[in-house]
Amino acid sequence: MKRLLACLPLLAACAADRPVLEVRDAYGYQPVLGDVAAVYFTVENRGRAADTLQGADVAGAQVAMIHEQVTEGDRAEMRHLDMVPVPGGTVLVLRPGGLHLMVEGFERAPVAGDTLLVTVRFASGDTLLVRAPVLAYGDEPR
Amino acid sequence: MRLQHLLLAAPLCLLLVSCEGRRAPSAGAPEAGGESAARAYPNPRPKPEFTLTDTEGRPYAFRQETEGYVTLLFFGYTNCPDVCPVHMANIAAALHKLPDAVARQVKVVFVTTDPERDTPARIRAWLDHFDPGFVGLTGTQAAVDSAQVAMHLPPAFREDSVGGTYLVGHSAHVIAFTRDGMARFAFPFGTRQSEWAQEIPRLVAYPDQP
Repeated sequence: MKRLLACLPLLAACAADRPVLEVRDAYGYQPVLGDVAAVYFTVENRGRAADTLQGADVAGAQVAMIHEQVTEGDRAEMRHLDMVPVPGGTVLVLRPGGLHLMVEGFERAPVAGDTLLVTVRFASGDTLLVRAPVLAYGDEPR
Repeated sequence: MRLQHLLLAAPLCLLLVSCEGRRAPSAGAPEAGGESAARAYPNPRPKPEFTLTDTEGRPYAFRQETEGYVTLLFFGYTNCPDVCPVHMANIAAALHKLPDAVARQVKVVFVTTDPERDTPARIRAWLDHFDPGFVGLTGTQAAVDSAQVAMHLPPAFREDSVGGTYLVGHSAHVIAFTRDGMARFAFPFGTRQSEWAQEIPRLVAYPDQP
């Protein structure tokens, strides 16, 4: 019975055909000169309905923008994205060389060992808070 | 089950392909070489002649200054939080782990593609974070563009972003010249520290195997 009760929220979510979101595995890099940092995280949508990543806010930073590093052949290009679709049943991974959150305007520049509080916003109205440990460039996450 | 599962799996596959599929080299780009991270240029090119300004404000004639050294050349900019510092940090970490006799035969040269914002002092401070021995070069936009064209790279470009800032496109590869002055390999983004540590001694020993 307990097991059944535990399943109820999931069943309700499926029945309502809503996105069921989780944000995890967040980390960031210490900005080299204190001004520009990159933050990465993973979004999983376990629901059937699509949602859209609309952006994120980082506590203590004025600006956080989703950027996409597009690499074609030997050329890299950064593009600013207003939104990123997260279809139902998919995992969106922000990682070096792909998507990242570019963060600027820190009240105090984070250093390796700090933790950033990142609020991730979705079109459905969901906002999820995740903690992002700050690493030094050259450190590999986990 | 099957159709439903396939339908659910399809967008996931597309997403994975779209994230992973961008490293495919375009026509004429270096080719992946077996297990190695390095991609060998089908037609190795000689080191180009260009003169830019180093972070001390002195002219730096690339070909002459790096003659006889394994030279790792990278075009990037210091406001880049993703590809540029990851490449630099990984090369630095690998060099710091290698014997001094190997590391001192390598010059790492960073050329800014954003000379407007990257002052010599800013480039120096940024490179010092990785290794004070890394060479930083700047110049007029035209001079920096010419250096890229000399390497058969499209010049970097600016794209306006929100809030009056701008983004800069650039080559994602680190170009590796062996000690004979030939550009023989390109290292794509994603080359790991362990791969650099393995490849740098090979570059130093080229054409012999270490």
